[in-house]
Amino acid sequence: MRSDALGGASLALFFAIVFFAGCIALGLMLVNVTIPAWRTRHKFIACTAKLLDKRMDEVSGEQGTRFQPSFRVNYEVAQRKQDVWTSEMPRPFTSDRASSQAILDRFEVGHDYPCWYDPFDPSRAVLLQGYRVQAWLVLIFPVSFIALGGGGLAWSLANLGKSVERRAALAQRAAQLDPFVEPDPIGRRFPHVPGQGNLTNSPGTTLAFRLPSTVSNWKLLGGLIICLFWNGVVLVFAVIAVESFRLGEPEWFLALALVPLALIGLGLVYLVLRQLWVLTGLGPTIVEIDRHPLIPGSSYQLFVAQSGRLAVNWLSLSLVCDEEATFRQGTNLRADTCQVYRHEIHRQERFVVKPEKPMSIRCRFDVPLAVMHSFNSEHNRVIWKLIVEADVIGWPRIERAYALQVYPSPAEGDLL
Amino acid sequence: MSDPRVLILFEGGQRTYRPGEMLSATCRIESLSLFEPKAMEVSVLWHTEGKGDEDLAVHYFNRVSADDEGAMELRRPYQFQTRLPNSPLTYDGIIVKIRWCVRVRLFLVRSREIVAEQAFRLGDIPAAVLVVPK
Repeated sequence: MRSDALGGASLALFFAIVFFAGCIALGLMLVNVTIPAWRTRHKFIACTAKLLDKRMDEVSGEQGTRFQPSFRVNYEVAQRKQDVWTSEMPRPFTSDRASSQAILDRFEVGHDYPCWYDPFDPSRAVLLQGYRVQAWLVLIFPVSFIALGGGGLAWSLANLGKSVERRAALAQRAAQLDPFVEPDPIGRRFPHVPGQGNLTNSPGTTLAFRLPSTVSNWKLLGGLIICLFWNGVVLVFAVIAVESFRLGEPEWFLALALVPLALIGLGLVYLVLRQLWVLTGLGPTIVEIDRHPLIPGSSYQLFVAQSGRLAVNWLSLSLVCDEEATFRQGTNLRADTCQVYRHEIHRQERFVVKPEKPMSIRCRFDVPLAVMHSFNSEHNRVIWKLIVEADVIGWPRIERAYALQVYPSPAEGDLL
Repeated sequence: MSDPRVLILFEGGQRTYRPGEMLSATCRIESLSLFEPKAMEVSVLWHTEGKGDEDLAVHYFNRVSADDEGAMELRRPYQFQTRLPNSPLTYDGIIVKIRWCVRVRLFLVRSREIVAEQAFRLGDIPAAVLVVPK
């Protein structure tokens, strides 16, 4: 238990360091960048100055050479002549020589230009009164540190010395008071059982509810993104390889290394197209149920319909329960699934589906009396679903899942 | 000098409850005479075990502090009761397990803590059996 307190104190210390580092960085940036930029715009006094000379200052360092245009100007303040070198304040040195040169070229030696000087120190002046957005944007970096560190510090201090149960109780109470979360009456009666969500908002044509498919397009989208990324990278290297051959300096190693990478890229394209084909080529499978949510020990009616032009070897309809756990392994978030219930409700073999005669099945199934209800917490889930599997001639094996919610048997007098 | 011991006794020795049933229990602290208790927290909670990261939710929570109630109050048996929720039920899954318990956390001087817990079952679901894919 002491290690918990030590861990909490260490975390508070870490956030305190982040917070104070942010404060120091903010102070430095305000003093050196933002306030000088603001002062040149709002506090410096305008006058006319003669440009006597100009030059490009260069500083060489580890990051290469950096540039800053400088101007020698002559102006008069309170009948005292000022002869100073100035640069666009607070423009720092930049590695972009072209932009610095463009600023330098805008001014010609011997001409008069508007100039702004510091009323507290007339020897400081600027020829360009640039009010750069960067002067404010640089504050994002320290402010984000302050927000992160401050928030974390407040959270750590608020939880310091509190037991895990007390923290959980406080968090639950805060969640109940959240004005942006609509109270869920079923969620209150059955805590940690998922709400019916969109399972009952689509009426069926034959039975009460049409169940939505849980096969999301994320798999296809994820595959597509990986495929595009992989092939994009391969394409960039392919262009470099082709260019090396065109210039007569062939990059043989690169060209040979690209061959297996390009083959993997083609494999990814094949997989994405196949997935797209399976998703869109077959007609939708309609699954309807007479009641929802499901209660252990009760019997339900199902209607399943499949349209399209298909020759089916077999089709199977099963009620399935999976456990799903997510866990951290090092810095990775991993998930594992394990099946704890499977019952084949219906099986049909060797039949043909035609557009004018879609396949339709009506059947009944029972939810066993002593089974776990649907459960949902942050890292652990128990999921019930109907699975339609089919072996269709000329198609990859098809598996479509439809979510169901199994609720616990209600307590006496607590009817669903 | 032995540490104080926290006893959690369910009324009637009951260890399995139906959803919505009333749970009544007493927490008794033994050998506390030599220790100065600062506070005691009594919780009825569920937590997960298994492969996934642990989830925990508190159904009943009460903190009795010596500052508010006086140190003598902490030495008396603490009785409480709470109506259990409809879910989640106790579950012995393969990679997901849900455990219900009464947990008592006794805070002593110099940041010392003593934790005791007694498990109970909510509902009567048999243990899950792994389905081996064909």
